[in-house]
Amino acid sequence: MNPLAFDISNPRAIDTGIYGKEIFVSDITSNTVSRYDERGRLLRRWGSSGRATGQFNNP
Amino acid sequence: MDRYRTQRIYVATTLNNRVQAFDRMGKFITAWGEKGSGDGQFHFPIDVAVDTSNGYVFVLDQKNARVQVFTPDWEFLGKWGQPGSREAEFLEPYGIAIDGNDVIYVLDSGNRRVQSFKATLALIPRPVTGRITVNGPPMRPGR
Repeated sequence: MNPLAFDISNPRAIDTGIYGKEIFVSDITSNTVSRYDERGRLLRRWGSSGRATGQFNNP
Repeated sequence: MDRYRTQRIYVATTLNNRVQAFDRMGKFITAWGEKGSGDGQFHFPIDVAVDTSNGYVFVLDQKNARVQVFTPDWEFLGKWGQPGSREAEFLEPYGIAIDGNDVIYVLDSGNRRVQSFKATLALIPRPVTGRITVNGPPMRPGR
């Protein structure tokens, strides 16, 4: 398995895509949302702290 | 919170140690649970997920570090998990989700990982209790 770090420190919520094959995890420390495949490989991560579009505060 | 194709909406009211069910219009149907560590009891139920095959309700029971499974009529079917960092153990888990293939994902926050499970339920005519087997290696991003 790809040794990508689960480098988020405070994961707080999880959900899946409607067809499976992907999971989404939010992190309240980095204010990001990460998308993983079903094997746990990071596909994409987005977000930062703030109030602008695309930013989060404790997602 | 989660919903099922029967359009039921389940809400874990964590501080009440209960799970409530509503119809899609928001009309209250029923509530289950009380504080404790026995079957059907909760200590900080933090999240709920529903599978697609049976509409079974999976409740993530955070401070008991376990998942409990119920029928939509709130019959207890089984449970798994205990505090710890090994396979099928949890530390302060915050989330549960089930995908379209009924793979169950538990966000094991204190261990900074996601564990995935496949639950097999022995379908026995009611009111006999079913059984849960946890299969497959947990998914541990970064481990």
